[in-house]
Amino acid sequence: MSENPLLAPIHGITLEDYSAACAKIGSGLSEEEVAKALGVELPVWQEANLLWPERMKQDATYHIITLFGQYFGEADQHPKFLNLKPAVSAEGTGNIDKIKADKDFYQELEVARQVAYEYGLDGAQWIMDNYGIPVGDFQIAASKWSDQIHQDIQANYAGYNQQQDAYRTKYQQLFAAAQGGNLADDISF
Amino acid sequence: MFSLFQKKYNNPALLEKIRETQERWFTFLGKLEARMEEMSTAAIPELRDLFNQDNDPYKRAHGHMLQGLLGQINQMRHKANEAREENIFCFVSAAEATLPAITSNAGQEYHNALYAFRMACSDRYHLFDEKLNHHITLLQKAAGEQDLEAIYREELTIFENIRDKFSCKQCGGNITIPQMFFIATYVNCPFCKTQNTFMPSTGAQLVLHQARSLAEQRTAHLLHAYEESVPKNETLYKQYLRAMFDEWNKIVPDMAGENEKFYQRLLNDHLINKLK
Repeated sequence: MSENPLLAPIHGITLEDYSAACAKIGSGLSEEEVAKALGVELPVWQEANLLWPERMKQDATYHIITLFGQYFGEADQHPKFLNLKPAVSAEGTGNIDKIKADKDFYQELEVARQVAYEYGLDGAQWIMDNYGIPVGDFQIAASKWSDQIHQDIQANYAGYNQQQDAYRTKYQQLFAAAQGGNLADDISF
Repeated sequence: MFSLFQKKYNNPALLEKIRETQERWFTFLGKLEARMEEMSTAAIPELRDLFNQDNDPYKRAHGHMLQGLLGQINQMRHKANEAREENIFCFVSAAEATLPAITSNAGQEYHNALYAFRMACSDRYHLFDEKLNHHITLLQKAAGEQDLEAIYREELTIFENIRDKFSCKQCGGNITIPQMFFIATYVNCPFCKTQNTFMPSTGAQLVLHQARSLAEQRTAHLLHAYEESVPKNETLYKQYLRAMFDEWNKIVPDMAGENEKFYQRLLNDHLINKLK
């Protein structure tokens, strides 16, 4: 048991439980389903859901939020949620597995999501509509690949930027074309 | 013999190219600015209307429209940056490579002309950049602030109207909800003591999430006073932070204990940052 009082469970809900629950809500489970999986009633879950973020706000070392990110990324392995999956299409299931197994696929969709926002679209919804990947699973993938991408940047900064630029150009063209072009496309030097 | 090294470098075509490139650069940026102006003028009233008419408490439709407009402005910035790289910087480098060394008198006129060209183009770019940032601010502020006080007052009224309209799931006895709750909460029946679960409305749940923003709106004048103080008056900051948390606690009294710990953290962070 950790000696850090900020890590003490809230109503029996540990930080690992809480992080996995948040990931699963983001993947489409309801609060009721999550509460049931944790073995508590809704008011107990909602109070824990209120108080864990308070612990993060109080923690000047950012240790709690760092662990939250780590446990969030491991949500698929949490024993209380192993047999609980939201209804997802077959294509969605394939893409959810792919984004957690294929780093390049994740990186491309991350850029697509950002560019979608720049074109006035809800990027997270665009990913859901086009690939069937809910925001929770997307964030699990983000957490999973974070360290490796950081290492890639350190090893080959120019190569990383080149790949990002290529993805960016691809999706800028795609979203601009869907909107009839950019406003200043007709202006040239 | 030495007159060979003093021979004047003569390249009028380069001077003409410098003049022409500068003119094209100014015209190009002017066109982008005009397009930006046109876009902002048309979008600002639309943004305002969308914000006011959108019933979504998170104002997502407004947010997406704003993001799209800012994306277009960034496209224009990107376009200007690319043109600057290709047509100004590269041109200067290529032209300099053809000139006699800067240490010789020959070609001095051309080095000076290129320097003046680079400075003029750079100044014009900074003016463009300032205008671009001005338009970003205009668009971001077009809708103004959400009146969180009005939304909060409305939720209080709704709660007062419904608080005694609940009945026990076990005995049917009348239950009065003792205070405004923002999350699902157990409420005991005063007659049979059965534990009932009270589910707050979506609007009431939102009050919890907007409480800090509302407290900040209420105390914005205090933060402004601190920000305007020269040198920064730390007493004013502490007054603001205390008042903001007091207001926050008034809105969600059940969170006062947790909020106090957060208050201490923010105060400490502020003091540490001041010492850096």
